Amino acid sequence: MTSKLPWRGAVALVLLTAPWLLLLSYGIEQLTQQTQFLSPWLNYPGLAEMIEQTVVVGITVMLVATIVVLSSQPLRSSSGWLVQVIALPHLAFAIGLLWLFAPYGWLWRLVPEAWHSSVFDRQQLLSFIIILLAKEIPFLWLMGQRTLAQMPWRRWLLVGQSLGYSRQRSWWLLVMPELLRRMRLPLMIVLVYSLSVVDVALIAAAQTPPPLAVQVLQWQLDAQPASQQFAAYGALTLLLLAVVAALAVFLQERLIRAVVLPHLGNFALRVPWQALVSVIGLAAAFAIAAQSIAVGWFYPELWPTSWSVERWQQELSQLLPLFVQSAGIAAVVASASLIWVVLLLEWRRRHGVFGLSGWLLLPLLVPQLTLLLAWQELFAAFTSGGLPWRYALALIMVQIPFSAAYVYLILAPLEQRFEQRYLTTMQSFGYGFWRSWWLTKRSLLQQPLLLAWVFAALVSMAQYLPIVLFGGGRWLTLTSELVAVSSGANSQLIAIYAVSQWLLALLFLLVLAWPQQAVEGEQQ
Amino acid sequence: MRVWLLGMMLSVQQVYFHAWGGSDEVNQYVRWAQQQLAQQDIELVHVKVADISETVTLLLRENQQQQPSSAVDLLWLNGENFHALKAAGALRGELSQAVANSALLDPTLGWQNDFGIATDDYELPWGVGQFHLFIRNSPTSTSMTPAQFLTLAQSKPGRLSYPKPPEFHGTTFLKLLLLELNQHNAALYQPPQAQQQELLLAPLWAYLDQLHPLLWRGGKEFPVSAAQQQQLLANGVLDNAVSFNPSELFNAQRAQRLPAGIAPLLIGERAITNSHYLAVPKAAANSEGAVKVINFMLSEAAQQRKQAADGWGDTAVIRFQQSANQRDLFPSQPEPHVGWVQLLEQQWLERYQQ
Repeated sequence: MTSKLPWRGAVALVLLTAPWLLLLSYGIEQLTQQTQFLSPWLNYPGLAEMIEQTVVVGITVMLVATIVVLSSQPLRSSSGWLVQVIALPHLAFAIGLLWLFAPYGWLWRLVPEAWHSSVFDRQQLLSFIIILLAKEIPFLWLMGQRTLAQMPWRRWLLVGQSLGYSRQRSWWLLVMPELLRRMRLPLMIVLVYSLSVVDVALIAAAQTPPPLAVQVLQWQLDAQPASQQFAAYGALTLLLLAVVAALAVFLQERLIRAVVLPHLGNFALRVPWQALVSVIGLAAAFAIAAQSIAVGWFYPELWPTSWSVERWQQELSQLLPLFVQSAGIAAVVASASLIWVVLLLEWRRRHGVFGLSGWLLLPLLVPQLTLLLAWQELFAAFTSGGLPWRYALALIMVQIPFSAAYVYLILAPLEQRFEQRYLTTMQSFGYGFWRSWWLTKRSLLQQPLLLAWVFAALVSMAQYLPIVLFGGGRWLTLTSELVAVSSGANSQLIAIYAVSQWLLALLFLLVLAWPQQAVEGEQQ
Repeated sequence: MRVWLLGMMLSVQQVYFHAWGGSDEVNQYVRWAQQQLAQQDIELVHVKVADISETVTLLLRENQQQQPSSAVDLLWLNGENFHALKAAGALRGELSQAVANSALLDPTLGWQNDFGIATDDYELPWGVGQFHLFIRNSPTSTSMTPAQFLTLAQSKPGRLSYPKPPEFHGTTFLKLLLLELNQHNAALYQPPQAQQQELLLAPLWAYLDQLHPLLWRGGKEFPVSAAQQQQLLANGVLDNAVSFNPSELFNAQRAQRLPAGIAPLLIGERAITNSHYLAVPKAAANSEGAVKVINFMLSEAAQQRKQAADGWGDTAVIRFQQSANQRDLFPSQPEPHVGWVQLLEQQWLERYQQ
């Protein structure tokens, strides 16, 4: 790896840019095909409201999440519980929360009638926002913790205090501006996710009209030429909204720095967020688990007619192969993503690559369906009627950009601070580059490497559209089955698949318990 | 996919069958078919999708790119999805020649037209659907006029709803009201003419303007699908749901998915009746295997099993030779002309989604 063969750079460059060139050509093809649909599209019933809802959701989630995350305790207390809430898959989380708290739901049945309110109801914008916040805030906490870990913020606080400011005031004035700046990317990712999420929006958000992303998917699935064209315009609008979202994050940051922070003084938000979020997450999981073994559970009963694991037993022969397959795909995608990002990071150290973060994070900033359809043509030729391994390869390839983005997000900041001279020292002892890398960097960065791998696996196992569009039915996962059964009315079956998906996520989390032993093993 | 490696070695033919995976009863039936077909060395792989239009989008894209070979061998569809694939020339034709058991099909069931478009042998029927409502604490009658339904809505404000058009159950609800409110006017079975459109649609919109404020969420929000509405019925949020399967209510109550005290209800005297079908993509990699599967699905054993009350309960489409047909169908109501569908969906959105 010490040689400077140009082909390696060329391959990396092609792999980095090809997905986007495909997107560009697809976009041009879609938008220039037929323009007579533009005016009917602009007059589509409810279009303005769809866009408005999407913007309201994005902005509200961004603002509230920023305020809660940056001003709360969990940011400064590092703990492992965050990851467990993050691991709970979005769809299962949303189903669980609605089943618990929405009108006629489980907890709602316990509350006296005078207290009944429909603030948190199905198909309502506010519920959608609340669910997104409950799910995204732990992710931002985790990102915030990782960011803080790279800042000498304790020293800054001491400096502030030595200048006569209180600890809290120093936090606002010295630490927060820098933290905000470094949190731009995670915030953008959360914002774009809120704009483009479909599965959660379908059950939680208003549907008359729906958020734009839901409508884009519905247009996409309607075979009429006009609908296809509407979908292209809609996807482009989502893309524009994503760009605006990026600007909004900058704007918010400037506003907070200029207007809010100087006036906060000794203000501190004292809400037991950690407890609150853990309780909500666990309650959602528990509610789903209860439903998976409940038979005949109708309003207004507090308990089902009977509890039974019979349905689980019947489904086991289906679940086990899916479990193995999902785990396998996720593990391969996560490993490939990790290797890919590590290679790129080393490449950047050596040659300095401009805009690497941009290329790698772009998949999180573009609506997924648009991207996948742009890539579809390339892979269709390869998989067409082929053997299952071709589909597997296509499936894994298209998932890597999404997982690699998270790997980069977790790994890059820490890698940047790594003293590469440890590695050079090793090399001077005669070890090869990658041998030295393994002995120094891998063992010193083991924790973030594992976390990145786990995140990549979690992202992969939650993917639905890649499985449908690229798996050709040869490869199915718990998530693809969960989405399929979720289109039906059998809540027990839906719960069984949701719980299985969650169990798989927990299995991946066990990997995080591994580092200590591994490091010791290395030292022997 | 589980045994593809083994399959390749033993030359078992996989047939990739894309079908909606939301119904437990259907999924269990497909599992039964898988076991039966295994005896013919066919491995039927049920690719469960949330919406068959996902598969249709994929097939249309493959067709547009002229992919020589498709990942899909067989699919379960009807209505607009069939229309799109047929129009694109993406389906294998002359199916009945390849499927011997198609001779058993009962021609009186009206499956030759799929939502107003001739099937032309590009798909073969698999079962029959009849649109009806489920209603909680229903009055004793099994059918209601639209006016009686409005009175019912007044007596339980916020407790009734229907799936949001253009979801096909929702659209069917509109078609039914359109027919009933116009006393089955003959013009509704013809392509819509400009001067009649307004005249015939006016009673429907007037009716819905009255009905919507009495519905769930004041008619500002609707369930996204029939399945979701059934969940709302089970959870006590709503007092009605809609279905195309005459056995579904019985099944759901037996499996304790819906409580007792819910009964089927027709609006008008007859139920809008249509079929659901099996089709083979023109580029299917295993077209012959798919045809064998259809042949099995139309066999007496498979159709009888499908109709069995303790299973899926889906009405048979063949004439049984060895036993009497046990069809417990509602009187059937033909569909209005397909031209009205787009008008209904378009104008509904313009009126109620602005």
